[in-house]
Amino acid sequence: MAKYIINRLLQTVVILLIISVIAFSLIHLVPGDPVYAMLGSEIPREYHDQVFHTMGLDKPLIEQYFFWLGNILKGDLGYSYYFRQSVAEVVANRLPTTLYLGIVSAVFSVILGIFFGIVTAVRRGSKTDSVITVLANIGIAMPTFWLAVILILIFGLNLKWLPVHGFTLPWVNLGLSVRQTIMPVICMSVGGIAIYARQTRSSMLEVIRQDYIRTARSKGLKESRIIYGHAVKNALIPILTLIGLTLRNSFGGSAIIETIFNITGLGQVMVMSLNNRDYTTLQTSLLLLATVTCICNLLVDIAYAYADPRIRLE
Amino acid sequence: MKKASKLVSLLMAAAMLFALTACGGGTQSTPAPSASSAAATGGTLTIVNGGVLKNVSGFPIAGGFVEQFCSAPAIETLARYNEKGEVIPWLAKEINVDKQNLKIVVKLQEGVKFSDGADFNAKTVVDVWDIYKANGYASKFSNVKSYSATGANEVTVILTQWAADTLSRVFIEAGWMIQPELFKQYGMEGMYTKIVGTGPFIAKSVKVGEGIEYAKNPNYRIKGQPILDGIKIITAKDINTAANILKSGEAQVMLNIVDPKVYTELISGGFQRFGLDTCITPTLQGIFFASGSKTDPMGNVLVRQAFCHAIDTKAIIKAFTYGTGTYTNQLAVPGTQEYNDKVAGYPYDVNKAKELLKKAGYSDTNKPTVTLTYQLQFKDIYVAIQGYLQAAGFNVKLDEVDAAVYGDRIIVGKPTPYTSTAQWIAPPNATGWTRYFTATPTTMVGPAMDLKGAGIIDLYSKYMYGTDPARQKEALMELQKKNVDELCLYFPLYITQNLYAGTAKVKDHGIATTAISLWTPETVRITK
Repeated sequence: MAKYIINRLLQTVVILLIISVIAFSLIHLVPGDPVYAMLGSEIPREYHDQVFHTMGLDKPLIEQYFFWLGNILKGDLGYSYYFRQSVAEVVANRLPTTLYLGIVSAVFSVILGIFFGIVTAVRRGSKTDSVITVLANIGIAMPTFWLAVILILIFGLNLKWLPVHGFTLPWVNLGLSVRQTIMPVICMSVGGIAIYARQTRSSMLEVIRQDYIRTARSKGLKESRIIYGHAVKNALIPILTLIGLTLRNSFGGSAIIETIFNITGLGQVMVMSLNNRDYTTLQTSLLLLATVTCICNLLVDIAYAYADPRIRLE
Repeated sequence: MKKASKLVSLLMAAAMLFALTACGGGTQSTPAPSASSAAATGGTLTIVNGGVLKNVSGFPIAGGFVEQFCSAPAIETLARYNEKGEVIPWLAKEINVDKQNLKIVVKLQEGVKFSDGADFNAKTVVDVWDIYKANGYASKFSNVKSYSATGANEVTVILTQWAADTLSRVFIEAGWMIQPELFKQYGMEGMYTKIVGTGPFIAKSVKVGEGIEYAKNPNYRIKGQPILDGIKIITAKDINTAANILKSGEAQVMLNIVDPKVYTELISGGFQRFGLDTCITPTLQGIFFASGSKTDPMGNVLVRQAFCHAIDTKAIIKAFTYGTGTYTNQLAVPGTQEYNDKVAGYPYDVNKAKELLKKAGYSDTNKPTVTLTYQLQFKDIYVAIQGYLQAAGFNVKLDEVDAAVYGDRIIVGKPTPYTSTAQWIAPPNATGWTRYFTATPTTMVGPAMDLKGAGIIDLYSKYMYGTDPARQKEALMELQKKNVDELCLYFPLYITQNLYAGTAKVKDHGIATTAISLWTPETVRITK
């Protein structure tokens, strides 16, 4: 197992290096003067040139790349002229918001999705199955931004029950935090719940047809024991991949939701960095996200190995 | 109607709640505070900005008008504009110009303190100007030979020559009085998040890209002011999100409404326009015939004139500006002192356009090609212009770019476009736009035109540096006519204001009544 993990870690380092080259190159290929884009066209030429030089943009690209990478390896993520903060601060200030929203919606998605998936599989062909399956299809098909706009229209603008923007951490103001979180979390969870429900349902249906389930039934085990003790455990193995993706998304944030609800999270930071050619923040955020993705994938693979002994033996 | 809408919403909400409950996703909600409970005299005014603040700043000179607007509660200027566009003292008590127009003596308000307790005096002004000059803003002092503190509260400015924009440039544009000690302590970067001035409010929290929160300055120099306890500025990254924040009652004012459609919706939804049509700093949208070479089609005045005749500007204004655009045939607002009634302009006449192109040597098999560079929000307008031009015999390439690339095209000038769009602010004395026609024109005008030979530079100098108002006015009128009727240097599309909207409960705000970046945070109040 240790060898397996070390191998995967080495692969991760190579992947991250490749991603750093791609992220750096692609960002620098996007046209547009980064200094004017970041600081606005009103700044005088002298100040523009001064910042251009300070950012090292007048150096060859290869030199800029190694300078950036070298600093990252030394723990210096760089300075954002757009956000007027070090990139480490930019990320650290926004990460709690993104993680909070991401994790809360992930928890809703996973728990409710799996629950509905099991229910629909166990009651296959029933009215409950039909209703949940139709709702799940709607959940998958419904664009997040559309749902967000509809929710804002109803609960924010017409009924004025919920605030239409902003985010407050629960330990700052619990009441406000809950009210501000309801709509974004619903938008971020609905698709996830639907996907988990459908995936769990098909996985469960496959498992409950297996011989060992039939054997369990013939042994006279209780149905609940068969479902929750044997079927669910095995049916959840493919769900682990989805959980890994959900975990990764929790770090990346949702640029659409963050923009619609005016929440300053990492997703929005990346969009703002791209629009304003904030190279340092964007390439560092991308690398960070890639690192998180690799770690999540690694964790999923390890979890696979634990959940399925066949993978361990391979 | 409103009741019906609420009923429909309730029914939809019930349906959605039912559906969500069926999914196990039931929600618990506590009613949000209504707008009316939040709005009270002496409360907090919340302003939402429909675009990201780039330089939310204790260094407002570095920002655009939005950033200046947002730092104005804490940082004051030496002077302001009055409704007529004249420069009037503000932190300065008197601004006296001598008879030769070469020396200005400024007497400052006495006993003024920064919100951190430091004194504001003549030395402060000198220090602030030194900082501005040393950090990229020397152009604000282009005709200033020297300045010095000639008393505890007196500053004397010596000029090399008088220029029409001297007072506004030195005392308003470079008149933002920051706390110079902070600059010395934190440097330029520190200034972007440290907003300290002499203003009626104190910055409590400054978050770039998110907003600013201000609290009342209890030691403000004007007794009984400010009226409010605080001002909160929220930045929304999307204009529709910003509009929702206003509509929901979570903000009372929305500024920087760049989309006239959103603005019109807000006004028809019961919000009021903030600002006046006669606001002295309107935005003029137009196309400059920048040309890198005399052999380009746009280097030929006949082609430029054909271009202008080919487009039905009034129809475009009617179709796309939702009533917020005003027609003009020159770079000035009709009815103002810069506007020349004698400018004929180029009324829509497609046959005349075709005739001019023929005269210029073009035909159906040899069409002149122009490239129109624009940003996404103007797409509809430029597609319409493309149609008009093609009908008149032009080949038109559309070049849609984002803000960053637009900056390259227009400011950096790489690559030089044949035509370019410019939105710019025209100060009351027209110096804001006439600078495009100086001996060193920007890429908007391009090097292909012989501005000197055409007499443009001479007229510009007479207007800009003249000391006799009658002669200045004469030169300006001639400049307007020459630029349009004789040389056809640009195609003015329309004039619009920077749009602000809000609830009628906000009073005495001064927003967009004298200048778009200046308002009166000290007098603004919210009625119940």
